Parts: sequence; C-alpha cells; structure tokens
Amino acid sequence: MSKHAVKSASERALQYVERTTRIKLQDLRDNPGARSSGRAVKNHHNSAGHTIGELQRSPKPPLGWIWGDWFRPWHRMFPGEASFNGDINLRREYTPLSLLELQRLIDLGWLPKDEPIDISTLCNTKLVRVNPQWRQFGIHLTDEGAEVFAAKVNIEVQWANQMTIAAIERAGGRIRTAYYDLDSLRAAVDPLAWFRDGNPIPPRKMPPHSLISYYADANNRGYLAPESEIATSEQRLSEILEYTRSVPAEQAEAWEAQTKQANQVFLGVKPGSLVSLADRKVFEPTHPALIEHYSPEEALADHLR
Amino acid sequence: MIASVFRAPSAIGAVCQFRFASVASPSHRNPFVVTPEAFVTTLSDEAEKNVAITKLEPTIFRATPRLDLLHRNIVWQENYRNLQLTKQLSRAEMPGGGKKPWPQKKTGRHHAGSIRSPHFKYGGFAHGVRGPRTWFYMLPDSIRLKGLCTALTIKHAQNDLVIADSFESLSSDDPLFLHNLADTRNWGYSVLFVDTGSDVATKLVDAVEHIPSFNAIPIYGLNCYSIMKYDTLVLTKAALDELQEKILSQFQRTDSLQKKYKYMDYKPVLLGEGQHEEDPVFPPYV
Repeated sequence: MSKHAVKSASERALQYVERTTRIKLQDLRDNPGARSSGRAVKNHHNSAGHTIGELQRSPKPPLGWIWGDWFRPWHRMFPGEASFNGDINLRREYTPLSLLELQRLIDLGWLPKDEPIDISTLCNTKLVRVNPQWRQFGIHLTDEGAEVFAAKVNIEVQWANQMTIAAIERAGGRIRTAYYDLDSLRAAVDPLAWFRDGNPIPPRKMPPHSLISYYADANNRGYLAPESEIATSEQRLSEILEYTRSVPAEQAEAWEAQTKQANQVFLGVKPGSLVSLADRKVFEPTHPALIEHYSPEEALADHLR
Repeated sequence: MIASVFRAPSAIGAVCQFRFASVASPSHRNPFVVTPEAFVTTLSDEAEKNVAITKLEPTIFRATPRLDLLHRNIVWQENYRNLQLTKQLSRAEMPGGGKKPWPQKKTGRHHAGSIRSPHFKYGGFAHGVRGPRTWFYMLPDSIRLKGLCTALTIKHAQNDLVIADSFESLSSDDPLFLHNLADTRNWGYSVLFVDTGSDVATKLVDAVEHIPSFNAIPIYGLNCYSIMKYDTLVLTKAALDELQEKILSQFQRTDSLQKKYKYMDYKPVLLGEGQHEEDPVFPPYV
C-alpha cells in the first residue's frame, strides 16, 4: 500500500484495481475510440456533392490542389533557388558523441575496458547510430564533459577537436581520427548484416582531397600522420594545457599492435576476405588479381565524395 | 545527450542493486514509485506459512494497469494462430458451365447462362470463403511487454499472486491435500503453478493431475491469457527471479521494441520447413 501523500496517475489507477472484484478475461476491452470503422467512399454515378451529406462524406481534394490541375498543387508552383541548400546532397555529417556519454558507456559496461574502441564497437551497442545512407561519415567526439573524463581508452573516431584530444590523452589514453568511405562504413556500422549478406570486406579508401589535410595532420591525430609527429604534437598539447603525457613503452607497443592499417576496416582482417558466420571462418583471397584489387600498392582515393 | 545511455546493460532482477548512485534506474529517482512486496510461502502445511518477504520490481509488478493493452494481447493470442484452409469454389472454378444451357427465350424456363451459376444445384458459391487465409500478425514487443506487466500487476494488486519457496516443499501428492491447501489459503477456483522448467516436482504433478482447474506450466509458457484466465498464480521464487530478469532485459535492450515482422526475414525458414521430408521418388507422407 502506498503511503505517499501525492499519488501518481498509475497509483490512483491501481487503487481502483485493488478495490474492485477479480479482473477476468471478460472485463478486458479497448479504450473508447480506440477502434473506428473505415469510411465507405462510393462514387454515386459521378454525382457526389449533390447534397450536403454527400459533400461531407465524399473524399476531399488533396492539400494545395488548385482547381483542375492535379499535378501542380500550390506548394509546387514556385521554383526553388539552386543556391539555397543546393549542395545538400553533397554535405557530410558526423554523429556527435560527447565525452560525457563515452564515459557513461564505459562506466555502465557497454564498452569493453581494455580493447580498442572504434566505430564498429560503438555502433554495436546500438546506443550510437551512424547511417551511411544519410551521408553520415562517422562519429564526431565532442568535448562536452572533457573536465570529468577519466577513462583510459584506445579510441578511433572520425572527427575530434583539440580539447577532446587533450581530455583523452590527459586520462592516459590514445585517440586517432580515421576516414571511412561510405562503402567501408556500411560494413563497419553493421558487420553482422554485412557478413550475413555474404559481402567481402571492402578496402578502405583514402580521404578525398578536401579531407586529406585533416587526416594527415598530427595535431588532429590523423591516421595518415607519422607517429613521430604525433608524439611531438602530444607533448606540445600537454605543455599548453599543463598536464603530463607519458606513455610507457609496453603500453605504446600494445597500442601499436591494436592499430589498423590504412586500408583495413576490421583489425587483423585483410580487405577482400569473406567471413562465414555459420562456419566461423575467414577466407582470404589467394588469386593475385583479387589481392591486387583489394590491396593495391597505391590506395584509391574517395574522390567522388 | 542520449538518455538511454544511462541504462545499465546487465539485467539483475534485484531491485536495490545499481553501481552508481548518479545513474540509478528511473524507478529509484521517481518519488512516486511504490516498491511492491510479496511473502514467500511454503506448501508443507494446509495453513499459510510465510518464510520470507521479497521486494518485487515496480516496472513489472506495479506497472500502469493498461487494461486496453492487455486486451490487445488477449485478442492477439486468440487470433494470430488462426488459419482458414477452406476454399469455396466460385462458378468459374466449378467444372463445366461454359455453355448456355438453354436458349434465352421461348423455353418458358428462367434465364440461365451457365449450369454452375450460384442458384443451380451444383453451382459455385457467389460470396464464398476464399482460399487459405491467415490471421497472423505480430504485436509490437513493447505492447506485449506492457501486457505481461499489466497482467502481473493486476494479479499482485488483487492478492492473487502467490510466491512459493519451491514446489518440492509440497509434503503430499494427495490431490485432496492440495485442494484443501488452496481452500484454506483462499486461492481461487483455478490455480496456475509456474516453475522454471518443465521438470516440475513429482508430488505437485501427481496432485495437479487429478484437479481439472489446477495446472502446472514452465516459465516459458507464461502468457497474458493464462495469467488472466486462472484465478490464482503461484510462482516459485526461482521462477520469479528468472521472470523478472527476462522482462527487465527486454526493457533494457537497445534495439527497437517496435520491430516489424517481415515475411522476407522468415521466408528461408518457412520455405525450408519440409526439407528433411523431401524424397526424390516418393511424395511426402502426411
């Protein structure tokens, strides 16, 4: 029995349940108005509208219909401006994920503690969704919660600013930004569906011209930047924001082993491999033409984006 | 910020366990929530003997009593397995009937175009029941969950939910003993005993066999219709814990509770059903 002075609606409803007789199958019914019968639309010899009753019950014209023309309603009469949102189909979007959310995901056990976190790991929780069909190119790790972030992680995202990078490195972790072209992203965000459809793992393409400078820059922890430059940048950032950044050699080696190659979508799996979930096996390509196609010496750039 | 991020993935039925006070489950932050409690009884004597008291999950046993959703669940349970296999043939499907049986005029008989017209003796049906038809549909998972929680809430709120420590504690396999036990404890005319698995205590099975209105089922057989049909629901403590864990894990799952049941997802399974019965020479034996 509730002792609260103010009761919620549920509790007030349950008071009725507690005092009434046993509720049986015959006492269960829909709420009033839950179901309604369909409207019978009849064409009375093409003369619907003779009486007010016919007018009230007849089908009404579609919204915006201007007398006579079914193909030019009001909202399609006026031309658009090419310059306004003209490039809407070419824009890139990144799903935001704050450091606060990342901390919570780790605290509550949604993400593994010692394994590298990448876009596949985050999308597998189903709490973070990236849809390549909507031209979402990955995850943007925002700096909200940078002050409280304290988890040591090895994370790979698609966009991060300096405060985010600093927060991760201050906590002793490692952050890299990596580019996934839309085809590779489709495989990465839902690996299960990709493998179930029997698709081979696609080779990750190089970033397009507009993004090469971002991912080749050590300050952004880009995956194309050399490790030495990144180390220098880490030290510089730690000096600017006044924290100590020192990575023990074993940790650095461990992270090195957990790093994907530039053309890999999944760690340790060659592009072009076929994954059989039923057999629990990975089949690598052996034909030289396939190997050359999936792992070319000069990686293809995603120039169409 | 994603509010759902604040849910923990592990579904432990115990109400008071959470790792971080700042991310306690919504029912703990809510000042209106009433945590329901239930006695755990033994079945050793006819007289009621309580051995423990347990807290129950408010989301399951003190849920908003959505009788309309429970009704939808009952209707679904009754209808989704319905299959109609009859097909009443129309005049076009009946054999013959292509020719006009007699001329239009001067015979004195009625106008007839075909001997298989509906008003003829071996004629086809005009508006007959047409072919194999199914009433199959799947209720969204969220509605099914709410229906279960409503049913369990009603049973607990109306004192028709009994938690037994174990069915092994039943001291006699005499059906009269069980009947008198139910009578003394004011259980209803019909009682449903729910255990964790299909291996139920022998004594209970023997006793229940001879009482038509008493039934024993495993937990995977629990459904809204059975909960509402039977006057009293008797769960073992183990069954209660498993039930709470299963329902809570469904509430906490991250993929949608509004999943569409598409035929294409089940097509290979359905079309492959009789594969082991296929023989290159002989037709399947039915």
